[in-house]
Amino acid sequence: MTRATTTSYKALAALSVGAVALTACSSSSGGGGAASGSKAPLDKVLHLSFLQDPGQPPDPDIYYAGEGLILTTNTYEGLLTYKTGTATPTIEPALATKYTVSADSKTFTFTLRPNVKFHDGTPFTSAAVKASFDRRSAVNQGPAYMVSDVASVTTPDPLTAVITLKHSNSAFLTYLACAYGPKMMSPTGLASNKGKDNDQTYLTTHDLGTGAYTLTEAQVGSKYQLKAFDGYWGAKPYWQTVELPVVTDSSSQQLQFNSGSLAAILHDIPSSAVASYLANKKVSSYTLPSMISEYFYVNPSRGLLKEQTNRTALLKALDVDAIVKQTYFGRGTKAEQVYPANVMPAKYAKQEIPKDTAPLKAIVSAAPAADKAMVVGYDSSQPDSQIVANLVSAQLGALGLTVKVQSFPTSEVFGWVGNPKGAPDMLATPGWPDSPSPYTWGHISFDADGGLNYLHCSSPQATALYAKALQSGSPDDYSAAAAAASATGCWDNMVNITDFMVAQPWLKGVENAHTVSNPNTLILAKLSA
Amino acid sequence: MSALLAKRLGAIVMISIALAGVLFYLQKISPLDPVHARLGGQASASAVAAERHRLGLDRPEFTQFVDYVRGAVHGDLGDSYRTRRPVSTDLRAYLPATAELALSGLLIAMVLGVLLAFATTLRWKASSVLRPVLLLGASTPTFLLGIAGILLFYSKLHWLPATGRSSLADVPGGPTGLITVDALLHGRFDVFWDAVQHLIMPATAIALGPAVAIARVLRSSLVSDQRSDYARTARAKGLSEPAILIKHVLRNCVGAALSMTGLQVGLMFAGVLVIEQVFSWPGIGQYVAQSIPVADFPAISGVTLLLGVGYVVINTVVDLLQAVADPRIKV
Repeated sequence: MTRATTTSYKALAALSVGAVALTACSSSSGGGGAASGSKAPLDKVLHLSFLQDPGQPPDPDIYYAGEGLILTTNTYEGLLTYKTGTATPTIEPALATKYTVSADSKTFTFTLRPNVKFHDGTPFTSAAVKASFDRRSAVNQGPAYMVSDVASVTTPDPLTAVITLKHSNSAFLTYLACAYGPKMMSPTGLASNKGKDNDQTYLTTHDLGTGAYTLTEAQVGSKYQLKAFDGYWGAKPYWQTVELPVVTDSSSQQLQFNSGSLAAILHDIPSSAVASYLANKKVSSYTLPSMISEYFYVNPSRGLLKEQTNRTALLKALDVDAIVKQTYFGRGTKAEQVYPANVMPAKYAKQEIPKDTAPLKAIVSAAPAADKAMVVGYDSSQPDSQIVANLVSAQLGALGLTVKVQSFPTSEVFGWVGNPKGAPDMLATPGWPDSPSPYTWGHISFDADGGLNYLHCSSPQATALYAKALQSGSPDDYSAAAAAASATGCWDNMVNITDFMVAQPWLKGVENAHTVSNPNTLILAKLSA
Repeated sequence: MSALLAKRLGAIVMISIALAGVLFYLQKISPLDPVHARLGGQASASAVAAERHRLGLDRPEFTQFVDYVRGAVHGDLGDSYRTRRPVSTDLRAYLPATAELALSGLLIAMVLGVLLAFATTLRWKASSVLRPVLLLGASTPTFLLGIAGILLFYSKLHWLPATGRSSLADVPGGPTGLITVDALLHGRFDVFWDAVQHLIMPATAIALGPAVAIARVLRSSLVSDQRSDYARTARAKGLSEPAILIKHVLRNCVGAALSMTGLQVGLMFAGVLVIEQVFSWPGIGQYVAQSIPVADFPAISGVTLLLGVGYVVINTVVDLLQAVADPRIKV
């Protein structure tokens, strides 16, 4: 999963960030907002915002990006979930209270939580599990792969569901617990709003979930609103209404936060503003653990880079410490593993790319002039990647290469997966795995048919090891697969990026409302004042 | 008049077909892939192929083009890849916001333009202040005006809201989609005042440039006609200079200013597209800005066609207004 396109006008916003930063320290009340900077609103209305529209409907079988997760993860629930407030991904019961897994990792039996109601008032039973899995397959959008290997969903009684897979899959439980996994929807609601598109039109502006909040307003491009669900089975949320207007300019968003109109900013705070917020004692800054990585791709079909030794030399020549310091100050660290942070314990899948400029210098000095000109690309919606690309260009320039920095729209970057024509020599772009399984990252990034294998590099050895690891679930197998992928010299997991958020001091529970595998969002029911 | 209308209708058809053709050609040669962008990295090859077929992107370009034009004639502009709703539905949702902003901007531009023209023609003392202020505003990029306005009037003075169309939750939902108009129709003066407050900054930001352009043209005509025989006769009859300008000279001079207004409306739309980003104004500028990075061609085409048709319609209205203002002009 790549980070969602957040704004095409971030360059414009960047022009004003300096001016906004000047006002960041002057948190004062007023500004037409509902809340002052120092006092919690008494009406229990939480004012948050989106930076740009989520871009896709808040339909959990379609939504496949970042910022809109606040809608899907607060209105819907799956059978399992991940524990909040910890950097270690830990599966917890959600709508299933317990489960068993067969020895071959093919049959999963779930005992369902009783007395759970959907937002339409109907009870949650095992029929919903089958209906929800069927719908995900029928809609067949990005997250549908998670149920593509399901052979059957049987419902022996209203509170038991048995899911049988065609093949062993050690990652299946992580699919069920992750933010993009199958969510339970009311079978009654699905049937009555099915239309010609499997409820897609209806779920653009409504929800059919069991979550602590229900979607009460969805004006695409303008505003969204959630209201607490009275019939929720869990602890009742403190905030009764959550307003989420769409703000299209980062500097405007910061001004509204600084004046107290917004309770928090949950994502896409520009690098230049991070330092300012970290130094501002009037607001609460949170550097929360995540699985977001700034990844660097090398194109194995271009000039000098066709040779594995040259690719490895190029990666070794990069000063990643400097890149981290200058791009992700306060919210990123140099990555030490092939996979994004927190996917595996730190001792596994170590990334060994020691800094050494000498090999590349030697290669460049002997290379023909035509091979010394390269392009480093970045996703145009990612201003941080632009900084990374600029730094890479400068560093490689000092070693004799002429590296041009070029931006590419998100749709073009994705287009290289099907047609690599026009792809650059190198690419810097952030992303995160759908679930905390190393397979979800390794397969899509390193396998030949991976959806994020933008520059078409692969290793038969790594592919075979991933197939083996998927069945065994062994961390050692995933480490071996990562080592084989890393040996190609095509990838460098450069930076572990944290989820950086800022909030008014009166907003309580932010750390405990954050899930390591769910970027840009919080479980709103865990927030209070 | 009917000949003019027929000619302009023909122009709309020709411009629409030409724009649609250009957009389809650009789509064909573009390396962008909306299907992969829409489905994400984990989508299987079969899901990508199924989606490509469902969207009709696996058909020959010419067939797609003919179908698109045929659909557009019937008001069907296809479905947005991003919002997954019909583009016509999206435009109906987003257009009122842009129309309200553009019309407010136009109103401010015309008032300021006439004011500046009169002030400089009659050499009012206020013109020594008004002129440099407006010139400064007009020579500043629109987005910078917007940001400066937010910093001053929202962040520092707390006079005006920063973003959006309204701060209120219970805004009347129709019938026009223009919040100011709908609020008055529903007798909701609180909503009206709130909407006006939200409009002031963005509308003024897009109005300053056109205001100066209108003022220049109008002033030039006013000064020229002030020296005409009929103005001299009016002066000889004892009329004051303001009365001469308003009662006699203005009507003769308004044609050129109206022409300039028509041209400025087109430029104003360009300004609107940028200013909507700065003020999080949920109009077609924001819609198209979010559609471009994900190669949402139906949405981009819909907005382009709408702006093209809108430009012809506005110029037709300006031509008709010129004829009303000056009977010597035949349409």
